[in-house]
Amino acid sequence: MSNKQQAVKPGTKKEQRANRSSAEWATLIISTVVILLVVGAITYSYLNKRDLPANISVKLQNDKIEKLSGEYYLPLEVRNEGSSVAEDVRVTVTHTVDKKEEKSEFTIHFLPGQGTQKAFVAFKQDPSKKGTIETDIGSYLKP
Amino acid sequence: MADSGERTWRNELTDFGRALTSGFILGIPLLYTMESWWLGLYLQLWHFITFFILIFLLNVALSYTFGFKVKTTMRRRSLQAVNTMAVGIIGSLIVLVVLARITTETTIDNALGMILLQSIPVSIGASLGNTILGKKGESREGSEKENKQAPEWVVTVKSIVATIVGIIFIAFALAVTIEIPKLTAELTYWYELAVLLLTLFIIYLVIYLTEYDPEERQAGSGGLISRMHAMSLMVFTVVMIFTAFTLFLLGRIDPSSPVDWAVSQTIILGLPAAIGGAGGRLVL
Repeated sequence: MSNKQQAVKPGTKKEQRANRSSAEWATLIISTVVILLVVGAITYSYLNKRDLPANISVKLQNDKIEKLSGEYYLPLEVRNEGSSVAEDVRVTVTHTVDKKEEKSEFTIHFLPGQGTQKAFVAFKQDPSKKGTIETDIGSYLKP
Repeated sequence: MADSGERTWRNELTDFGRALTSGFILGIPLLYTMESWWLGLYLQLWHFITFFILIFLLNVALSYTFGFKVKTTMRRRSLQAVNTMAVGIIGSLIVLVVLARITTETTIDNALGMILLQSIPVSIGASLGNTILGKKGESREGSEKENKQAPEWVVTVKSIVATIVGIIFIAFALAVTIEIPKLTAELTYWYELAVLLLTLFIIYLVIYLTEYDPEERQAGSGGLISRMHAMSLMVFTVVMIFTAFTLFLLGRIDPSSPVDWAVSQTIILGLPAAIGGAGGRLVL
């Protein structure tokens, strides 16, 4: 009995060790859960493994055109539907009014798989009211 | 019982604070490198598995040689590898989320690549926590003895100078890179607020780890906590002033720059600069 009392006596080394262990166990469990989550994510990545080449598309947002300093800014989104990274993606947007072409070009340095890049192209005339718009992915580099 | 329990929990949290801070000190240059974010996106499944095993083995090796806990046994050392690996993963995740490199739109593969890549230096830093930040570290023993003999104002001045040197060292290295204007252009006000809060948290953590003495608190020094708050705010102010000064010196900001652009750059560079300042402070 006296031994038992001694074992739980506050402030003894044994009691401190017990507390130390509970604190350590708690942090160890949290750490293990974090690592298991990473292992789970790697497993998920393996099970859903896709090796699709970069598949780039451009989505125009004609309803969000803004006129600033005499230029019409057309917002757009360039999306890579594939799973591979595309580097230096060259995008050309052509606005044609009465057979006259106005081109706007830009380069996206880095577009990851399933990634989206927002951009703006500027034209002299409002593309939503006159003419047609064409988009073209000129080229990209495979890393 | 409660007091003893509190003390052991506090020791454990202090150990983790030490590990996280040292992880940031070693990991921040890579965490602020654009190529490393991109490299994380290139990684394939075999990279994930190799990196995972590599991080674990490195942490096991380091926990046996250094470790981040001050008093420990061999059995606990092997469990430390699990802890430091988790610290590396969580530390990397926090910074990548705060810098908007990982968002709700990021795929699991891309997030995994970035986290595992960044976890290598962060977890190595965490494993070296005891050497970098440990009060009983041999490298600090001599200077601590010197500091105890010196008048308080000399120690304070030395501490401020060391902090400034650390801030300028990291701020100079990063201010010239394209990452700072890129992040400034991309991050919204909410993200900038998160960067600011993380900066304050790290400063407070380092002050706690270097200045806090549990025995002093038990002896009834009521002003200690408020002194820590004041010191953290002072270090934060020094960090912001010298970060802005570095940006100005390198022509990244000037009197004609828009105020919000200048402030945003200072906030974004302030996080690594604060970690550099913490590193400088720890040299003392």
